[in-house]
Amino acid sequence: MINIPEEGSSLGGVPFKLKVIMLALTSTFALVCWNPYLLVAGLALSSLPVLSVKSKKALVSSVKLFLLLSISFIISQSLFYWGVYSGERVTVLLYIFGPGTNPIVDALTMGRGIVITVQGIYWGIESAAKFGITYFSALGVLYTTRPSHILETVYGTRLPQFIKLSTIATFRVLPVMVEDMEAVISVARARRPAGLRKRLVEPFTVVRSMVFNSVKRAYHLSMALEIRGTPRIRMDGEKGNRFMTIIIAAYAFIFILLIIASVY
Amino acid sequence: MLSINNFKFKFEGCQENLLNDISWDLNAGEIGLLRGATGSGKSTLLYAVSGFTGKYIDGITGGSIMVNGVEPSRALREGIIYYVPQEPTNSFVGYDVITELMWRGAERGEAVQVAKGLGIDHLLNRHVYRLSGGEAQKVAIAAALLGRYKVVLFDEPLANLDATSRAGFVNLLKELKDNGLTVIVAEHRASYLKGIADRELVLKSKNNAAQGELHVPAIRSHGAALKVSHLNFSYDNLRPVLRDMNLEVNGGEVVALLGENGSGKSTMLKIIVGMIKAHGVERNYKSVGFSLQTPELQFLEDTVEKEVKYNGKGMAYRQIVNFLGLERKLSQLPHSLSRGERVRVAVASASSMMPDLMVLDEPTEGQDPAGLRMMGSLVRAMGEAGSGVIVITQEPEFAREYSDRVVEVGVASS
Repeated sequence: MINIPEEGSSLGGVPFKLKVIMLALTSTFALVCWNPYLLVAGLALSSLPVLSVKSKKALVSSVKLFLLLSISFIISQSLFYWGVYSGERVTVLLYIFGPGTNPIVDALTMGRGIVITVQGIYWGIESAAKFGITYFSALGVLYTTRPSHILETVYGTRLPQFIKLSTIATFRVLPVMVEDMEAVISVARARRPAGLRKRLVEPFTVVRSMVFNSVKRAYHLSMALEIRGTPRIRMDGEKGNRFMTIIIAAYAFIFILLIIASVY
Repeated sequence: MLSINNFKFKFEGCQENLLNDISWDLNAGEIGLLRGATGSGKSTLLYAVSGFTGKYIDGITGGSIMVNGVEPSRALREGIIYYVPQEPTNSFVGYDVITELMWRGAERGEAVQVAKGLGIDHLLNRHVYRLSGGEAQKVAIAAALLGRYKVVLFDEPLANLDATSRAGFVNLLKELKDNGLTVIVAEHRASYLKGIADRELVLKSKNNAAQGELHVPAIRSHGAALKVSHLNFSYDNLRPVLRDMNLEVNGGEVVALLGENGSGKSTMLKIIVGMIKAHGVERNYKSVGFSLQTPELQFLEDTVEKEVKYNGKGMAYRQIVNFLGLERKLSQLPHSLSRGERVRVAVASASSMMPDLMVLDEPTEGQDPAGLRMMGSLVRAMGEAGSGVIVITQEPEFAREYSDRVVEVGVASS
C-alpha cells in the first residue's frame, strides 16, 4: 500500500497546477545554476515543503535516500572526475593509483591513474545539490498532493481521452495492484509446492497469476468506466458539472490492460 | 421501468441454455429479489440487464430486455443503469470516496449531504480500496443516489457483510426505493430482504452440487495442531487489528471464528498460515491447507485440476472434486469461474491434500443453501478424518451447526 502523507503539510491547499509550475521553475534553476551558494540556498528552500510534512517516516526515508545517492555520487565524482581523463587541468589532492603504478589501472585509464581532485569534489557537490533541488521539489509536490487533485486537474484540461483513461487506470488500480502482488507472493510462499520442478517454476507461476489478475482488473475497470463514465469538466463542485458516458471498445480495453500490466 | 420478456441466454459452445424464457417486470420505485442456486445465472442476468452481454460475456441471447423503454446497451450509453458487483469496490473509478460520489457531476455540498444522510460522511477522504465490505456497499448506495441512475443492480450485496451491516444495508435500500429507483438484488440470503422486496424471481438451475456424505481418508492426529497465545498484531503500529488473541485447535476439531467486519479474522488466517509474520503462534502441524476470502489471489495454476492438485498428492482429490461439483470445470481457468465456484476451487485445493490443519476464510460466500450444506459436510468430514479445521464465517447458523466450538472475535480497541 502506498501512503502519501499529504495531510497537514504547508502546501496542501496550493492548486496542483501551481505546484507543477513551481516544480518546472526549480528544475530549470537546478539545471542552469552553477553558483554553489545559490545551489545550496535552492536546496534548503526546496526541502522546506518536505520538512513540513508531518509523517516523520516519510521524511526520514526520503532524506536517507537523498544522502545515500548524493554521497555515492560525490565519492564517485571525486575519484573518477571526467576532467582528469579528458585532459583538463586539475588540482590533485591524492593519488590512489598514480600513473605507471598499476598496469591494469593504466590500461583502463589510459595511463592517467585514479586521483582525488578538487574539481571532482566540487563537481560532485554541485551535481548532488542540483539533483537534491529537483528531488525535494518533486517530493514536495508528491507529499502535498492528493491523487484526486491530480485527477481533477487532468479532467479540467482539454487532454486527449486516452490520457484521462490512463490516469484513471493508474490511480485507481496502482495501490490495489501493489497489495495484490504482495498477497500473491506471500501466498506462493505459504503454499510451498511439493516437488523440485514446481519450486523451480514457482516465480513463473506467480507472474502468470499476476497476469491473470491484471486481466481481471482491466475487465472490472472497463465495466466500471462504462457504468460510471468520465467527468467532462472539473470536479471541484462548480455548478454545471457533467459526466460523459463512454463505451470501451476492444482497443481501449487492451490499452487499459497494458496500462495495468505496466503498473505491475 | 424494467421489462424482461422470454429472455434466453446460452454461453457460446454450450449445448443448453443457462437462462430459459425469463420474464419479469419491475416498475419505478420497486425492489426485485433475484434468487437461484449457485450457477443458475443470476449474475449473467444482471450482466444482460446492464448491457454487458455480447461484449464482456460471449453468448447467444433470445427474447428481449427493455430498460426505461430502450435496449440495455442504449440504457448503458444513457447512463441510467448502475451495476454493483459482488465486490462493490470493483464498480468504483474514483480515488477517494468524495471523488467517487462527485464522479457524475454532483456538487460537493450535495455529496456531503447524502453522505451525512447515510452515515458515511466520516469516510469522504478515505481511499476507496480501504473501505470495509459494509462501507463499500454504503458508498455504492450513495453513488447510486447521486449518480442520477434509474436502475440499480446489486450482485450478492450481503455476502461480505456481518449481521449488523446486513440489517443496515437493507434499511438503506429503502432510500433508493423512496427516491424512485428500481432496484434488483441478486441474493441467496433472501430472508433479509423478504420484508422490502416487491417482486421475486427464482431462477431454476441444474445444480451440479453432489448430495450425500463425503468420505475422505483418515489423517493421523497430532494433538494440538495450533496454539495461539496472547497474539497482538497491527499493520501500522498505530491501530491494533488483533489484541491478546488466544486460540487452540486440536486435530479432529472444527472451530468456527465469528466476528464483525474489521475484527481481524482474515488477518489471523494470514498469520496462522505464515503469510504474515507475528509472534505468539505455535505451529504443531506438518501441512496446512487454506483458502482466502479473495480466492483469485491464491490461484497459481491455469486450470482447476492443476490448482486443486497444486500441493502435491491430493489424496482425496477425486472425492472432493466430485463432492463440490467441480468435475465439469477441471479444464477451466480458475479465475474465470463465478464467485461461488472460485470459493469451491480454493476449498477443494485446501482440503484435497488432507492437511493436518485447514483454515478456510468465508467458505460460505457465494454459496446457495445447498452449497452451504455441502461446505458444512466437507468441514465435518475433514474434522472427522483428523484435520484441525478453522472456519471463518459471517453465518452464525452455519458456525453453530457444523463446528465443535464457536469463537467470537471482537474488534480490537485502540
